Formats: sequence, structure tokens, C-alpha cells
Amino acid sequence: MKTPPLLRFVLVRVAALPFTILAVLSISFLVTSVLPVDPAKTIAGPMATDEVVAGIRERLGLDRPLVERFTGYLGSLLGGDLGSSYATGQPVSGEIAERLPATLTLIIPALALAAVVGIGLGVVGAYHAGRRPASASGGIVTVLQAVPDFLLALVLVVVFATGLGVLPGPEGQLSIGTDVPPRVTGSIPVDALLAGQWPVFADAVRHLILPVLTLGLTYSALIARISRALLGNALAMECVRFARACGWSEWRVVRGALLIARVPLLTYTAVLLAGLIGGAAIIEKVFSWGGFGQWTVDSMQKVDLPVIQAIVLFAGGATVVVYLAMDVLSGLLDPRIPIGRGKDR
Amino acid sequence: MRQDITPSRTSPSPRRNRAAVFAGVALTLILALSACGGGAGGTGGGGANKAIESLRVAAAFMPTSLDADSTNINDIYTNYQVAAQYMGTLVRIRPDEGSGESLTYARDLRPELAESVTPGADGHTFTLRQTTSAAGNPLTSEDVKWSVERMVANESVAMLLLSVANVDLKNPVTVKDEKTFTINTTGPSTLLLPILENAALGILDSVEAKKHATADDPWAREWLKTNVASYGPYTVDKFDPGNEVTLKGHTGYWSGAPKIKSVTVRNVPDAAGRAQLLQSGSVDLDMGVPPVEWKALEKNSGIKTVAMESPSALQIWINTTKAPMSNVQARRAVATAIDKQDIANGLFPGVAKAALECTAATVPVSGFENAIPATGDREAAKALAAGAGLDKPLRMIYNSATNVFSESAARFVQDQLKQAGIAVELQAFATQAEYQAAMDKREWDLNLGLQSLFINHPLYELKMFLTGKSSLNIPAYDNKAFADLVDKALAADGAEAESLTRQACELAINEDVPMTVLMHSPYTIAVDKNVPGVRSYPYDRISIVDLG
Repeated sequence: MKTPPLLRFVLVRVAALPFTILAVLSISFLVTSVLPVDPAKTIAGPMATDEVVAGIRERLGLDRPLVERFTGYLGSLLGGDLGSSYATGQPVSGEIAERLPATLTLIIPALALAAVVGIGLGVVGAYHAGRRPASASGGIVTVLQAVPDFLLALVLVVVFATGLGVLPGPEGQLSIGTDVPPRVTGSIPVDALLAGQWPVFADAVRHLILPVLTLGLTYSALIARISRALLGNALAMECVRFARACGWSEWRVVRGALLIARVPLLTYTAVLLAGLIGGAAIIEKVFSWGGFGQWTVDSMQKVDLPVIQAIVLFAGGATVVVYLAMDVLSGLLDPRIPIGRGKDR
Repeated sequence: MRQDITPSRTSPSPRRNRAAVFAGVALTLILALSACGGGAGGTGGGGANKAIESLRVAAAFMPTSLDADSTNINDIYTNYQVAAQYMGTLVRIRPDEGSGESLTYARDLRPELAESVTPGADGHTFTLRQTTSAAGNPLTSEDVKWSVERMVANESVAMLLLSVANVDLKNPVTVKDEKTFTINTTGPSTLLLPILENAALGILDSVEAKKHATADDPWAREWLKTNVASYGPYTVDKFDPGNEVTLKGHTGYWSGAPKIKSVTVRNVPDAAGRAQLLQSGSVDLDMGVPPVEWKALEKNSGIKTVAMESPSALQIWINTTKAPMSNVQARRAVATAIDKQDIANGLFPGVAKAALECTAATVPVSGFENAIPATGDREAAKALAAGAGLDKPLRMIYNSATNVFSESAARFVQDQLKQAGIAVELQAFATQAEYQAAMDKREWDLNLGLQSLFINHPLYELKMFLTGKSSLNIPAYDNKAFADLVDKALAADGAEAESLTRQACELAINEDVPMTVLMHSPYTIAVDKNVPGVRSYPYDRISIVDLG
């Protein structure tokens, strides 16, 4: 029986995944290993004697040759062991599981907001091209793009937390002293919901509003720019003229144009999602979120090599998986894309 | 052509109505959520100086381990403010009782877990109080012995402090009876009592800790990462590593249960965020206020700002091993060109002070006078620089990430030295690890950094950071006469120790100039005015047991 082209495409990409990951791993391992810094000295501190530093180096295996360390690392990885953090001594896989849900809780609604606002602004800009609404939309996009995310965060905090007092300040995912609900998914609002802890759920949602608004508005500018360009092209297509000539309502025409632009829009949003997993570090820090991005920056500051390597591995893997999913989705959404049927992929 | 077929958009469509409904629902939801939930505990906006039972604190750091003598230095740096609340120490500094007086740390120590102490030539003999740990075990000399032996085995900060205080590391503690013991030294020790105030040298409840020791981990290091067994005023109720710790008052504390029964410390790394939380009433105490936030908080009538003279200072270490700075005339030229007063005024006006002391310690060295005025002397510097080989730009390194002052201070120094005809190239490092690596390479001429002393005592810095061959001696200062003076001062008492310390300071700071102290970096906190009992301490932390 012949394998369907799409399935064949997925299988080929999945089979290539370990090689891609190995390449990413090798580069990250090499780069972090040749950094002119000594993790043992960072752990021991400037006051430690040379003997103490040497002892730590031995304990961490940093005194072994690079090739031996790399093969040992790969062996552990094959056994599902990402190693232990130099800073905390805890398994890195456990720390990822601890922190990733917090970041996903933040970036998924932020990206949803960015898509709604961005596409909305893009539609207005493209549909009303050359007229006042388009200028207004362009002005909003320019402002959103020009204001750095941390500044927008501070303004929102000053207005809604300090000024109006209607939302909590940048104290993290819950009010200080509030008990975290029993862990099921790791996402506090979801776990609170599952546990039926309504006050905790409300508290968690309140704490989500400002960081989600910040990230959502910041990234909406990027989505608005690309959707305006894509929709502008789509609205100028012959098929759209034909649709209008056939008497389609303007709403239907815009929807049609959005359908034409959906594949690149989706791809762009997926790229943003992959980037945001570690890229929301500044906003996580401003809001004391304690997620994956904040952890990434902290680990780099501490030269926590196992964590850095695991983050590279995870981010690389997530990016490849997201791109693969987007390719598949593109093929499903647009039959003209010859996924698995040609040499173009 | 398109406008010809664009229909009129004057009548509202059903979809637009739906959008308006959606927006209304969203707004209602936000307002509803705003109304419910909310913070827990706190001062609750009660009247001034009303007794409070819980305290919410925003801190710039949060440890990933509760072990006050962790083998990872990062844990100690991030934990000292919290560990000081739960670790029971043999002595502690008495707080400023509201007189605004300047406490001198080493001379204002009071007994804590120790009831009395008898100094001796080969050690100090202590008598312990009748008290119990949070687990209910009585404090005994065996606890002290086990704790100190653990410090030695850990080879971390506590052992370093014990060694600088001349403690006999092979036989540190001799138990006399259940309540009496001697900490053995290799001779008289000026620093023994001051180091015992540090939380890293806190006494552990050995009975409780030993329950969690294993053959592989005889010092219960794993268990003590997330648990506390000590005799301090607080114990840990909940701990979320790196994020939040909740302390509860130890009801069996020797001087009675703390007035504030519960303290929650949350990690809020962003300074602006901490200030916002304090202003909005979400927290009661902000531990660590940089200059920008200080200005804003100072103007808020509901907030009290407190600056403490901590043993932290911006310093310039000078590489004495490399030309041209191996020439003492060049070192003097650099130190003389710097206007410390200008730097202090520029970086933290009204709060920071130009440093005229011998070291970063705020404890004055009796009789020592800094030969260089606080405002520097440009003309004298120019004269010294001429013929000192300062014709090429000097390379100054600094860490731009860990200290809020370093970037601006580097620019100040560069400008001031330029006015004296000394060119400086700046090289910033964004992480401590990179900065440390650059320091070790010793290709720099000047090194601007923050010196934060574990012990607020000049002899501590002179011994640890200006003698010996280790990397701690950043300028690689090598003067046998100086090292002898310091060692003699460490083993002397009273006036003799003060005289020897003064001579050591004059030799190093006024004559050889391996470093120059620019500005004391104050420990700044801001607190809700409803929190009573806020006092000043001569170090970079507060004791929450004194609040309430």
C-alpha cells in the first residue's frame, strides 16, 4: 500500500529530527564549553581556595576531556537524563517541567490577543488603504512597535495597579502569601480551576491580565504589519475583484482575503510562539513571573551549563516541532502547497 | 475602481453589535476579577504604628537553598537577608534603638544564643542559654560542635570566616559540658566575635538535622536545602525555591515569640516592580531600593525610606603587577585624581557618602586619616602622572550587571582621570562569570567593583583582600611589612590592635595605594509607615524580629 504524501513528509521530517537536534546540541555544547568562564569558580565564589574550586570541577566532571564529556552527555540524554543544574542540584528535566507551564500560561493568551488585535489592525489598514482609518491603524501600530515592551509593562502597572488599583502589581502569578493549588498541569489558573479553588483562579487571572496585555499589544504590532501587507496583496487580487463583481458583501470579501492570507499568517504566528518560549524573559522579569524565560537568563548569568544546554535542546526541539506542525497544517489548509509531493520542501 | 462597489457602512451590522457586547463582557469580567481575590495579610492600611501580625516583603533575590552555609556561593549571596531571620547565632548586633546613633558593629555585639563569653588566649569560652529549636530540641554544646564541624567540612563561606578569625580548624570546638564550650583559636582573635554574628555561622539543631543525614550525606546537606533546623526567631513554614519563602515566628525563641508572626518574602527582581508593589500596598517592605526608585518613594508620605551604612563600597583595585601601575607614582596619580565626593553626589545624592575610611568597612580605624582629600587634587595628580608612564590609555574593567552604580561610576572615573591627563578605556562585562574570568587574566590596569564585606571590620578586608597569593587579593598587593602588621593586629587586643590596624592602613592606602575606596554603597529599604519598629543596622539587612 502506498504511503500518503503528507504522512511520508511527516515521517521523513520526524526521522530527520534527531539529526537536527544532534547538530544543535553539538554546537551548543561546543560553544558553552569554550566560553572563557569557569562554572566551578562561579559556584565556589571568588573567596574559594584553588583546592575547593578543583574539587567542584572534579565533582561536576569539568576536569575530563571535552570529547569524553560530550559522549557522556549524549549517553545520559539517550537515557532521558538532561543532567542536574549546577546551581540547584535538581534534575534539569524537573525544572523545565516546573517552569514551562508558567510561560505557556502567559504566552498562549498573549499570542491569542496579539493575533486578534494585530489582524484587526491589519484588516483596517489594508481595507481602508489610503484613508483615515488606515492612517489611524498605522499610527497605533507604529506606537505599539516603538514602545519597548518593558516600558509598556511599567506604564500599565502604574496606571492599573498603582494608580487605579484595579489590578495587581508585578508580584508574580499569585498574590503574596496565596497558596498554590495542587499541581496537575503546572499552570496555576488551570490547576486552580481543576481544584475548584475559585478565589485562587480569580487571583491568577487577575495576575495574568497585565503581562498578557503587555506581550499581546507588543506582538500585535508585528502581526498587524504582516497581516496588512498580506491582506493588501490579497484584496488586490483578481479573484477578489471578481468576488466583488459577483456581489459578495464586503465582510465576505475580507473573510475571503483572510483565507488567502491565512497560511503565511499562521506560519508567522507559529514563529512568534516558538520565539516567545524563551523570549519573554524581560516581561517575565518585570512581572516576577518565574517562568522559562526568566530561568534562561538567570542560568546564563550563573553559567549553569547543564541548564543552558537543556534550554538550547528544548528550544531547538520545540522550534522544529512547531515548524513541522505548521508545514503540515499549511498543507492541510491549502491544497496548492505540494507537501510531500515534490522536491520543494 | 474598488470604491465603486464598496457598500455603505452607515448602518450597524449585527456582528458589530456582537463585538460591542463582547467588549462590554470583557470589561465587566476584568472589573469583577479586580473586585475578588487580592493579597493576603499585610498591614491592611491600619493606623500608624499599629501592631501587625504579618509582613509581606519584596526582595531582589530569593535563594534556591535554605542552607545558610551552602557550598554554592550564589545561594549565600541570595539568601543572607532571609537566612538572618531564621538562623540562631551565638551573638548579634544590637539595633539602633531609635536614637539615630551610629552603630559600630564589632563593638555593639550582644549575646544571642550565648549567654556569656570569656575571651582567652587560645579561644573564647561560651555559656549557652536555655532555649529550644523550632523542633523542640534544647540547645546544647553538641549542637555548636556539630555545626562548626559542618562548616569546616563544607569548605564554604563559614570556614573562610573561621580561618580569618584564627579558629583552629582541626579542633574547632571543645565541649566542656552541656551548656559550656570553647571555640579554639590558634592565638588571640580580634575577629572571632564579629564573625559569629553572620548567619552562615548560625547554630543548627543537630538532633533534628542528624535525623536526615545519610552515609553519603553525613551533614544533611540535601535536607537542609529545603528545611531549617535552628534556634532563630523564625522558622520556615513554606519554601518555593527561587520564588517565595514564608516564615513563621518561633514561639520558643529565647526572648519570646516575634511580634510579627508571619513573614512572606517574594522574589521581585525588578526594582521598579518592587517600588510599585510597595506604593500600591501589595507589600509592606521593599528590601533594596536603587536611586531612581528611592526618589519616588521618598516623596510618598505613606512610606518610610531608610538608608543604612552597610559594609559595601565601590572600589578601584589597581593591578600592581603590570606596568605602568606597578609604579607607585602612577597609582597615587590615579587615586589623587578622583573626586569621590562628586561621584557620591552624582550617583546617589543625599544618601551615598564619599569613602574616606581605609576599607569598605564603616567601622572607623582610630587615628587613620586618608591622605587624599574627598574631592581629590587634579593638579597634584597631573604632577604625579607626569613621568609615571601614563602616556597610553589605561584599561579599566567592571561588571555592568550586578551593581546599579558601576556603569555611571565608570564614566565619572573616566572623566575625572581625563581631567588629570590620564586616559582610560572602559570594558564592561555583563555577567559575573565573564568579569571574574577577565579579572583572573590580569590584563587590566584598573578594576572597578563593589566590595561587599561579610564582616563589617577593616581587618577583615585588609587580611582577606590585600594579603596572600589567592585571587582574592585582586591588586596582587605584596608587602611583607603590611602583611605582618595585619597578622599582628588580628592577634592583638584593644588599643594595640587599633594602633596596628592604623599603621597597616597608612602603609597600604596612603603610601602603596593598591586600591582606593570611592563611595559607600548604602543598604536602602523602603517600608510602609504602618510597620512599627523600623531601625537602622550597620550592615545590609534588617532583623524582622525587631519590627512590630
